[in-house]
Amino acid sequence: MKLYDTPSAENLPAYQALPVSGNDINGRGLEEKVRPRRVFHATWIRELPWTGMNDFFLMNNSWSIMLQALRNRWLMRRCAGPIAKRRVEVNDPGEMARRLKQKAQELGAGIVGITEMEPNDLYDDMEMKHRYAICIGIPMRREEMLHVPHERSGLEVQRVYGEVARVAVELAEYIRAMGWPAHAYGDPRSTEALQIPMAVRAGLGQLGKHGSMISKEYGSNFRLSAVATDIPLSIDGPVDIGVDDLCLGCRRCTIDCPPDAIIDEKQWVRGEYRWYVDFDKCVPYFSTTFGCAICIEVCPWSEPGRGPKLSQMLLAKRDKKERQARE
Amino acid sequence: MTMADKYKTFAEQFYLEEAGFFRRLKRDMRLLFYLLNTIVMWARAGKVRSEFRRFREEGRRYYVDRFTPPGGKL
Repeated sequence: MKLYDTPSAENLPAYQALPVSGNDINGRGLEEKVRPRRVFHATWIRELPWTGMNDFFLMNNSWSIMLQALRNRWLMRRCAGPIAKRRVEVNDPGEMARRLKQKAQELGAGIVGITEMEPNDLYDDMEMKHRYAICIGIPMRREEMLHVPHERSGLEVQRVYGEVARVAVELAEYIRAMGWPAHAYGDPRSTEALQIPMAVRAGLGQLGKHGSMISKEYGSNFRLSAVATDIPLSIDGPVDIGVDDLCLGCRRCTIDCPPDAIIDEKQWVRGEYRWYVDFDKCVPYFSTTFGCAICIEVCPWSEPGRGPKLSQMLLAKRDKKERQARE
Repeated sequence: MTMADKYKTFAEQFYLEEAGFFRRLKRDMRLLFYLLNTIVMWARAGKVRSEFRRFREEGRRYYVDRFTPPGGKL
């Protein structure tokens, strides 16, 4: 549910001389695994084909959103730092994993999971320096996100990016104080890591048709950050909460997306067959509507309290079908 | 020359692993300058925002090519 009528997708900002398709840069259609390339939110690289649209997006934001985004970037300067000389030895990675998850929750994390990092979690100009990623999710306030796609919801997104980045920064400082290297990744305009693939492997949820993650606890209504570290940890595995069981048949986000950017079939993207949103259609609308987020808001998973029951129902239905197929 | 050779990432520009007080202070000043530049760009873009609003009301297409830096073709 959202409170406002949706702004029209007509007369969106556009390029007169079309740049390289953002979908091609993202690797749509590629069946082999390749490193991801930067395409948006990287305005320091002035020669990226979509820099013009990116600059327009920044200029079109409201002052309050701009200020919060700058606060987030200022916070991110603490994402790396000195490591204590005295190292705490880790004899039980499972116990250390529990301790760090508890610490993350004390700092304000909603959901936490741990996975091993892979080179494809980082953009192709980055080197993988750490073994583990502690993935963190914090929910957005639903009463603010009902205002999509307006300034109020855009500000809530930036606020939560700031919160989740703060948790990652403070957790990384906590790990470094134990004598282990740790680097926080947060805020999409400063980050070098792809949050969603790491968080999916860490068991925070699954990828939805709208290109965002869906968790049982928060639906699509949360933001991610991560801490990369070498401290020995036991890892979590991916979860199956029944996202595809709903997404395959549900068209709520597809229908409600004003520029028709959401695709009903999975695609090959950099060696993975998965849900993918058309970048070239989404980004111009995204750039004029404070980061849009209509798809996140209308997703049935995002209704507060619905996730656990929905997951249970979908998985039970799937089990029943499989049993019937076997008989 | 690749992008990695030509451009320092945001991390390479502003993140410090091991640094004393004065190096961190210098980094903070550089980052503040970077953020201030962004604020100035945004403030000067009031003209862009009102121009875009006018174009939309008139039903005209607003082209963002004007923001593409020279040589932006990578």
